[in-house]
Amino acid sequence: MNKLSSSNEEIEMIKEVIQNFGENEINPIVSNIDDDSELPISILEKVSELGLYGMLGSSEFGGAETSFSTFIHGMQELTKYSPALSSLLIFHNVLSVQLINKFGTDSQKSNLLTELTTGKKIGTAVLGDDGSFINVDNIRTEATEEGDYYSISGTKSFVLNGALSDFFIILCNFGKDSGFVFVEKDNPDISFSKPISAIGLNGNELISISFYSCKVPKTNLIGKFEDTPDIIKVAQETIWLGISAISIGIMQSALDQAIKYSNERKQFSKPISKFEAIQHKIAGMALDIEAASAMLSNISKNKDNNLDVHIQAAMTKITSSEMAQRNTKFSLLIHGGYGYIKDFPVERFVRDAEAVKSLVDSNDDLRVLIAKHLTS
Amino acid sequence: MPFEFSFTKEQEQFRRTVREFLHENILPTVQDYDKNEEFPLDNVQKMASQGYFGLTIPKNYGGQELSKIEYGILLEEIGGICSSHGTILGAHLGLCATPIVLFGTEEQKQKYLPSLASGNSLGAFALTEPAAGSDAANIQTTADIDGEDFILNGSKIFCTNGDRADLTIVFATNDKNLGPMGGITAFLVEKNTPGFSVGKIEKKMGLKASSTAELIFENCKIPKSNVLGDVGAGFMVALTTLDGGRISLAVGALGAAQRALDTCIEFIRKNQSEGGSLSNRQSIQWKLADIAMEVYASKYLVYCNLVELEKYYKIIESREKVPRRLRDSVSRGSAISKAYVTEVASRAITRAIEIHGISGIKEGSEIERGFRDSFIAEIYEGTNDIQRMIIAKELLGLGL
Repeated sequence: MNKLSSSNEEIEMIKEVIQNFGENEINPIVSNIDDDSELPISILEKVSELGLYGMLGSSEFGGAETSFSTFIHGMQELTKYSPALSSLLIFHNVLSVQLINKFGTDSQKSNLLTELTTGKKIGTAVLGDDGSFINVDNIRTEATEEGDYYSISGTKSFVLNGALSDFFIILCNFGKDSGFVFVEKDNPDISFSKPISAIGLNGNELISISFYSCKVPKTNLIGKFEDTPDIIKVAQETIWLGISAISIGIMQSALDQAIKYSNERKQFSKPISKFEAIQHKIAGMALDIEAASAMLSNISKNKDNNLDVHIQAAMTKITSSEMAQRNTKFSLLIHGGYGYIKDFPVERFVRDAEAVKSLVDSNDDLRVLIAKHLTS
Repeated sequence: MPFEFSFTKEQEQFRRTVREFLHENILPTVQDYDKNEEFPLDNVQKMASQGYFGLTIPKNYGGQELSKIEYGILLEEIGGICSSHGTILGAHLGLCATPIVLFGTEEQKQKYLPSLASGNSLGAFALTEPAAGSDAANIQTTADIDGEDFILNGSKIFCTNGDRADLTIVFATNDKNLGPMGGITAFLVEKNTPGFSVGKIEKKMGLKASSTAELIFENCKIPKSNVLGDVGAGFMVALTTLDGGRISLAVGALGAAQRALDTCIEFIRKNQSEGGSLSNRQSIQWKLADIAMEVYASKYLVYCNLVELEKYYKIIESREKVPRRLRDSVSRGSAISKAYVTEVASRAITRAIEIHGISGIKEGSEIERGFRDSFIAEIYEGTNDIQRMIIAKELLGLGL
């Protein structure tokens, strides 16, 4: 039951729902999320009520079954309120709900998907051992057959949603094949690092996971081995698009704050928005947002229309994450000294943008991917 | 050799001694101070015991009487290990003690400089106000004459060392009608002066080991003998002080950029020794080369400016007339150094994060701290937009 196109109405509707949620529930506590590195339970419950955990899941299994475009627009909007929360929902939807929905067996869907779409369980996936999605050729997390089980040994670092997830889909080396299996948090043969505090996205911490001859039933295999390249490709392109949505949402917040501040702040007897140096920064931010939003929106539509977006998704991730880094800094500089103190949100935007840019795959690696594609 | 540019043997030795001291005594502690947002009192005392807090103060007043070049070397080395520490020292020595050396009366020098030089007392500089940021002349704090005293009313914000300082230079308007040149006066305000209190301490993105305070003046009585420079000449005191302050910031930023470069080299070499491929990747090599190019250029720029600053301050200290061309050149040079090198440092640290990958953004890593610290250098002591305005107006002869 794939919807192939998204309607503007669906997009507008989800944006409105998220705006209400954001204004009323998130805004009042957003700085606590950053300070305490914790997403409050009350917010997570509300997310479940709104059906945001299951946006990419089939309605048959409790999902909202929105188009990818709608999902991306919604998450871009949610990022304006809390990048920590939107990142949680993007990683969860893209890396657990979507993958099980697309590649899972019937029994995996009926056992797991409902729990994931309602947020009873939070999930994620991890590809490269180093937390990257692109370095999948030399996986040293080994899975060996032992009767009805696989025995998994190895370590996965910098796992997205790591600290919050109950459920992990991991890419393993099965000897001559590679494939994905899922492991649950309470498996006795795995151990977790402490949550990794980073410069930004506080509230959604990464984690490293070690597997010690960890026994997993063979029925936990996602798809067949021949599906592995497809699963990798879907996971890569959707995570890149998701990261792009977060980057653009953060930029938009940075611009909103810059506009507000530059109109209110007077120096030399006039609002600083009247100075050309400030105007150029603001215009530059708006130009970037317009370009990146159009790029992301267009590619998401192409994805809904089943076109191959793999390379374009990599391009979008690079473009928007670098723009977010540049533009959050512009916003901070427009704020002057006030941009550096915690009374204003803009220093958090800078930290969040830097964290998002560094997640998953480096832009250097993605540039190599694009160039290889173009020159091969 | 008409254009010789190198450090003397003594200066090289000074750098080695400073570096050794800092790396042994200060560096191991800085991450914790940053994490706990705690003022590094122990480190301040340790650095003071080395004479750093009076490095450029004349020997007559208990200082080391070293030149701006040694001051630059010191701040560069400190900037390499922790910007908070550099900021504490810069505010104390560059912004508080230096203007006393330049503009103070003999009595003021004898009274204040020895304890500042030894680090027994800490200095601060309070110019910025809520309505006077980039528009620094728009000071609202008032100084009304009352017999043999001035009465200060108003508030200052973003004052480095503000809550810790024993002595703060405070700028207030003695007569708004006279405008900045003639209407602003600098005052030496001692801690515990009735009517003077500390307000809010800011929570910041970085520079977490240095404290940034609001200062409040309510009918705060300051004797005329504590006017620094002439009544009405305070804005010149501020501008002249900031000419030096900005180069100091640049040299601190240079230290941070150099450290980012060193850290990257170490990281890439370690990766190589573990069989990694970073050292052979052009994306990594190019970033490293880009950092190195800019650091190399910055080094010449700031030390060139420091030589000129030394000349400039010596003339002021001797109370001779400063040639207009020298004043303009120092002012433009310090603006160029400040804007350029602080941006070099920001680019260096951003590239360093890219080289380090995700481990570069982990809380508690030196690179992560360097990133958070880097932004303020583009803002304080005049945003880089203001520096560009100074540079362009000076080049075009527009006046400020």
